[in-house]
This record gives sequence, C-alpha cells and structure tokens, in this order.
Amino acid sequence: MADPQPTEPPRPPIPHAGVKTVAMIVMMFLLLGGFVLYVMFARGVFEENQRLVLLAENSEGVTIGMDMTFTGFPIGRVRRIELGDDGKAHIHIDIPTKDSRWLRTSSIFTLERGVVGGAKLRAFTGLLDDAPLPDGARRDVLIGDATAGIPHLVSSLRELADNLVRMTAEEAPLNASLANVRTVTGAMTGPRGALDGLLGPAGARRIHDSLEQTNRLLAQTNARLYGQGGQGGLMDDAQRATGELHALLADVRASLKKTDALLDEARGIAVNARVATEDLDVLRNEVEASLRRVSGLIEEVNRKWPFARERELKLP
Amino acid sequence: MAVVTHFMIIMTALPLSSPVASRRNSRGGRLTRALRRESRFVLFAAATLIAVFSPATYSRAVRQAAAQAVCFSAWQALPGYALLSVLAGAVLTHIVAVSAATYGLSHLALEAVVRVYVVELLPLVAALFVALRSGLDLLDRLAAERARGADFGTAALFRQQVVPGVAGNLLAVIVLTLASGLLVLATAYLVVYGVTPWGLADYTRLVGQVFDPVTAPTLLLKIFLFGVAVAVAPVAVVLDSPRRAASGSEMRVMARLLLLLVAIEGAILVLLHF
Repeated sequence: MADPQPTEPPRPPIPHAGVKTVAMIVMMFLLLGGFVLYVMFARGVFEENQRLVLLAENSEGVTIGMDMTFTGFPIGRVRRIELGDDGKAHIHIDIPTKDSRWLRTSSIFTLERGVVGGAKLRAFTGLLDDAPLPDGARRDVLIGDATAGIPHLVSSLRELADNLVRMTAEEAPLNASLANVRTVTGAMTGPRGALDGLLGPAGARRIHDSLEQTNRLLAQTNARLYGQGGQGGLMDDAQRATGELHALLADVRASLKKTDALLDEARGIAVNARVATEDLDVLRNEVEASLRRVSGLIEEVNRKWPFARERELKLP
Repeated sequence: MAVVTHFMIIMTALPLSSPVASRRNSRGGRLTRALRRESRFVLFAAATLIAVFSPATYSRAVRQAAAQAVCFSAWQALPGYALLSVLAGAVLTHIVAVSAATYGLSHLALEAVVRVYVVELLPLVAALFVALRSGLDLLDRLAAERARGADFGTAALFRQQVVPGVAGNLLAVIVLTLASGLLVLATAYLVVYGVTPWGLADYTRLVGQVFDPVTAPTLLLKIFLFGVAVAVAPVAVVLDSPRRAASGSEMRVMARLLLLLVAIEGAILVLLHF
C-alpha cells in the first residue's frame, strides 16, 4: 500500500533539513555521551583507588560520595557506609593512588560536624616520612561534634528561662523591689523631692525644719556681720580696724627704716673699733719689745760696774 | 512491517469518541469515563512511541516530514533558548554566589545552582518552552485536520501527520535540556571562578557529588519523560471527535500536559529525596 503524501505544513520548508536533523541527533548523542563520561570522570570511575576503612562510633552526617580532605584538599571519597559486626559504622573510602601518598601509618582521621553544613571527614598526617598507609587499612575516626554542646546549652537556657519566669512572676521578690522603687521614685516627685523617698515624711520634715532654722541663723549672722538699716556691722568695724592697722604698720615700717640706719652706723663704729683694736695689739707688742730691751739693758748695766752684784749664793 | 501491523491493531481498538458515554452524568459514570479516557490516552501514547521508535515507520516521505519537524522544533529554537538559559544561569549564579558569600556559605553556592537550576528548573523550562512553541503549533494543525474529518486511525495518515511532530518535539526537549544544562554548568563555573583552569578540579568533584549514581540516571529519565509528555500530549487531540476538535482543544491539552509534567516532577522528587 502506497503511503499518502503528507499534508503540506503551513510554514515554508526549512532548507537542508535532513543534514540539520542528522546534526541534531549527533549532537544529542554527543551531549549525552559527554555528560555521562564527565560525570563518570567526576566521580572517579576512571581512577585507580586505594581502599581505607574508617571505624566510627556514629556515622551521622556522612553521605555516599562526600569528600575526605587533607589540608583542605579532597583526597578521597566515601564509597560505602555499613554497620559492622562490631557495632561501629564502617566508612569505606576510595583514595586515588596519586593522592594516597599523603596518608601514612601515623595519620589520624577526624569526623567533624558543624552547626551549618554537613559533616567533614579530615585526615591529618604529622610525619610524612612514616611508612605509607597500606591498602585496605582500618583506622578509628575521632569525632568532633559542634552540636554536642547544644543539649547542655538548651538545658541551661531552660533554667535561665525558668529563673526569668520566677523573677517576673506576680509575687516575685523582684516585682516587690520594683514596687518599692516605684514608691520611692513617686515620693521623690513630691514637694520635698528625694528627701521624702530617702528619709520618709517625718525625717524630711525635720530636715526641712533644720534647714529653715539654719536659714534664719544665717540671716541673723548676716545682719550682725554686715549691719542692717544703716547700722554698721562687725565687718565694718573689722574694716576700720584693718585700715588703722595698715597705718600702724606704715609707722612701724618707717621706724624700722630708722633703726636700720642706726644699725648701719653702729656697724661702722664696730668696724672702726676692730681696726683700732688691731692697732693697739701692734702697739702693745712694740711696748713689750721695748720693755724687754730696757730690761736687758738694765741687766747689762747691773753686771757692769759699780753696780755689779755678787752673783754667788752662799749656802749656810 | 510487524510493528506497523501491531500499531494498526491498537489504533483500530481505540474508540476515537464515545458520544453515548458523554450523556451519563453520575459520579460513577464520570469516573468510569475519565478512567476510560485516560486509559485510551495511555494506549495511544504507547502506540505513538512504538511508532516513533520503529525504524520501519520512517519511509522517505516520513523522514522528510520528521526532518522538517526536528528542524522547526530543535534546530531553530536551540540558539535562542541556549542564549536565554546562559543569561539566566549567569544571573542566577551571581545572585546565589553573592547571597551565599554574605552569609559565609559561598562553598554551597555552586552546589545550590547545580542542584536547583540544572537538575530541577532547566528540564521543566525546556519542556514548557517546546510545548508552547512547537507543541501548540502541532496541536493546531492536527486539530484542524481532525475537525475536517481526517481519520488518524489509518496508519498512513498517522505516520505522516503525527509521528514527525512527536519525534521533533521529543528530540527538541532532550537536545534543548542537555545543551542548555551543559552550557549553564560551564557558565556557572566561569561566573564563580572566572577564566581560570585552577578551579576545574574542585568543580569537577562538585559535579560528581551532585550527579551521584541515583541523581544522574534520574535526571536523564526525567528529561526523557518530559520529552515524551511534551511530544505525545498535543497529538492526543486526534482521539477527539471532529466536533470536539473543532471547538478548540488548546486549553484542555495544555492543562493535561501541565498536569503530566507536575506528576513526573513530583514522582522524580520522591524518587530522589525520599
């Protein structure tokens, strides 16, 4: 049976439609194949891998395909997670052979869970000179959980909230204190201000009376000191006395000046007396010398005639 | 020829309209009628797909008509759609990257773009784009033919009129989704890392993490199912009676298509995340 001719489409025919269709089909298969190959490459299908089994107490947060990092660089990928016969989570990790050199027998592995984001598997190698990690090695993983403290934090918050509820309850001490504060501050707004709040009405009244008495005393003292109604006060007298004292002091100053001059003259006399005393010393020395010479001369004359004396002593 | 014979048996068994059933207004009657209509639609879709994927269907005239349909649906639409996808992808990636960096979560930005835009949004947008552009065109032409009384129960007319449009729309959805998806993957890399090869290793690992052994096949399955829905839903108008086809079928067919797309998307989401 011959096929009927297809109905002519309303739009004009597209030139080279056959070639373009083949190109589209080829492109579709290329895109599909490229996508599949890229995803397989991205998942490490074409890499040679080394196996590592991490034993964890809890594999929560670990997912198939997640990375294991070393100094921030992904060097392995979780291939499988299982619950082992020992009751621990066995995390099977594929490590590409080219990256396995970073893992040594002394490497340690951690599983960290943050508050935001998924869990992180990390490897740490302190001694890169150690022996390489063998294929199929089994290692314990250390778990650091940032959310582990959250239950404790929540319980603390609950206690805090309970305390707040107790503090803000109707008959709570804090409420009573606040009521007292309100009473005190209310009293502070009264005519006697803060005194009413601090000392109560009676004490404030006594303080008020004392202040009035003090004011009266001050007024009287003022009148006494500075006078009142044209009468001179103590301060006027004191001012006058001060003026007289000033004059007296001026007289004393003049007298002292005269005394000073007298003293200068006395000092000159004393100086002259000292000079005269020195001259008397010289004169005395000369007189003594002259006397010694006269004495010597008299002795000389006495030894000589006719005034010679017997100088022998005759003992009985 | 065996496939064509099989197709003829299916098409002959399908009642193209049932005016008697339309007079029943009870709830049970409406449910039965709806189930029957949907089963007819499923059988029709299966027969159409068999015809589309059978090499024996493509005689010279059908090949030429299919080539025209593929060029109209895919070849002409690809540049514009790819350009729009790349622009939207660049803008979306930039917004997500900047927002994530504000909250100190920049390491999650690319993953979010790939998971949300490439895996979820692009296939749906491509399906709707093809449905509104060439699906509606095919629907109008077939509805006009049906209104004129054309009998699509004959294999020859079915192959000449229906199969090329179905093949073109199916291929268009697949090609547009794959091309725009890969272009957006490249654009997202350039937006985040810039023109440098040093982020390729990280980016490749990220793509590998997103497209795990479940997600990648599921995405391909979703693209194919979207393509089938977009390709088959408009041509279901040939099941209508000539009077119903003449009364305008766009809203009904597009609503059914939208429902199908949402159902597929929901089923895929359930498969992926639950």
